[in-house]
Amino acid sequence: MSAIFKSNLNLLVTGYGCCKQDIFAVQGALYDIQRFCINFVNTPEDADLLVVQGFYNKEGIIRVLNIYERMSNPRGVIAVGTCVLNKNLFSKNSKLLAWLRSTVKIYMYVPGCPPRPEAFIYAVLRIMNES
Amino acid sequence: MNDINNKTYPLPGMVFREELKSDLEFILKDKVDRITSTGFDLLIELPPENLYVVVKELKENPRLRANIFGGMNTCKSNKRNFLLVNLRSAYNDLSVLLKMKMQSDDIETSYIETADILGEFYKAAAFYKGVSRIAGCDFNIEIPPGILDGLDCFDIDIYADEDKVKEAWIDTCVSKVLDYEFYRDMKIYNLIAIISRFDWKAGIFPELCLCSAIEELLKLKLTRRAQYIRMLLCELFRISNHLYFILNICNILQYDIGYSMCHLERERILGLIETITGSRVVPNFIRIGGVKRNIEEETLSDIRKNLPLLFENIRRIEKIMMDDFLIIERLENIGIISKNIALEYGVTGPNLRASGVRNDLRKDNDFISYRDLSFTTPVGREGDCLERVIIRFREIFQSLKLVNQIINNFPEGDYIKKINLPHLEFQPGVISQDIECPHGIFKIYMEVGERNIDSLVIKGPSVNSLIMGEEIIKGESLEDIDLILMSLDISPGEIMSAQYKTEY
Repeated sequence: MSAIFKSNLNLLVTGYGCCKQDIFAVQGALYDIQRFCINFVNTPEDADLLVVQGFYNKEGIIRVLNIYERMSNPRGVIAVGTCVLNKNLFSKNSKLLAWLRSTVKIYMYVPGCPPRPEAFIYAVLRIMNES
Repeated sequence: MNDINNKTYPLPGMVFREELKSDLEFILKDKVDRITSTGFDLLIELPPENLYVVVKELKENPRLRANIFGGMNTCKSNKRNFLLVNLRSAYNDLSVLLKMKMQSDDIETSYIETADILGEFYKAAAFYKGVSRIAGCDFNIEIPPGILDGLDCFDIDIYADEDKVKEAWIDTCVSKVLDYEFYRDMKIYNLIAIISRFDWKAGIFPELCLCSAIEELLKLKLTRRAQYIRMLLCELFRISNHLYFILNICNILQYDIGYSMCHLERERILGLIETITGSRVVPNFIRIGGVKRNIEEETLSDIRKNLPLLFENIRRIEKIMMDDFLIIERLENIGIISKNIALEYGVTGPNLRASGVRNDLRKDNDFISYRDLSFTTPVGREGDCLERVIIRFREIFQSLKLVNQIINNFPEGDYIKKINLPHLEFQPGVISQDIECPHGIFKIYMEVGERNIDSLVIKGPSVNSLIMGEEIIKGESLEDIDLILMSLDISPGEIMSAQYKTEY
């Protein structure tokens, strides 16, 4: 990853799931992720990192890959939550991680159901410092 | 003024329900197989070919007048697929579940066939036709799922003339992730652990609904301390959910000061919840016969210390939001839900109360032991977005008042009744349970065998709000769509639980 990430990093959150409210909690005044120059954006063209979380079906996976293609280089993916990392709680045969791994590179895995906001901040900061 | 505060729902009682049951048995004598009483509803088993006649009788008979379409779900019992249709009446205590065999093996086809029949009586039934409804429609704007929690589980297809919405269709294709029988081969304590994911904005309520349904089957009476701990958690989660709602509204309005202050207060509440349950959003705390852990005196004093701070700060948020001219301008007179539309689409909870209907299970029913406490149910008047925000603020203050009463009268005693969970045996039967969650009335329908759960249907109130969203965004401008849909407080987990994936 480029060293440009050290000064500014834009995140785009996709999917729907329980992890989303704990991811957006880091935007609040208590955790305040913006003091590390990390922002949440709404359009794939502006985003550097894609946060993949929650529940996906076949249609959802196609849309995530479309969003990833629209992002400009350099780009990366963070996988958040047990539903993405291990197995989906409600659909046991979900193959999301296999699909993702075959097409994109995943930089960081954040385990937990849902992970705490501190864990998410730690993962993003690790990516910033390693780049 | 009298018209606004009149009570559309009468006080429920088993006496009325027994009377209705005997009436129903007389009216639908030859057309149905069986009528049984299952907790909160009357279960009517009928052959599918009689559906039209039975629904016509239920809708048009002056004694019954079932004018509310609650929803449609699938369930499986004895290795056969069944459809469950929920109909309610605003005029009397009638709430029925129609159970009939699926007309074909494919879930989608039988949904379409049934929705065609029901569509002649109820507008909301058309939503259940799924993708086939949208295929032939003429739309020129397609809005993909958004980023915010609550707008991220559906597409909106819009036919717009310049910037005014003429027609809208909501397509929930991305949220069909649930396995048809996810509860199969699952132990009850595992089910309690994962069920809070069906409403993650307020995770305690699905657990509470499931456990109270099982307690109803076992005829288990709780200790007073267990009831008070449950009520305390319910109110804390209700405040947390309403603050989350307000901060999302602030986020859409780009009102950063409200957004940050709501986040701070929500973190304060989540901290209190975490000291009690050990988890921020998915508690896994309610057990059959009580709760998982006792609440110590230290925790109570911690809550006691935080209550005045919360009250003061939330009052401040309300003041700065409601004093702001721009916020009022933006929220006023958009997304108006009239009383009739809200009742017709089966909306419950704060959204219904904002349109001027007094309906609260905490007051109307003996839900946990709310009858010990003193509180009022806020009722709105206009039914627009502003009213829905104000109703949430007023409910937060009522909840704070309730928390104050609970921690001051905290009873002594056991917090759980010890039962032998691995060797639990039920009387085989059918049960349906309703509870008042922050979005509305959360319903669980269960069929149990001797050892395990044979079929489980979870129905959240957000589905009805979403279906109504299609109706109320008509005539509004494109920029307000996000705001109106967010003001309905849609919980994506409930949308997910209403539909099963048909292919993967």
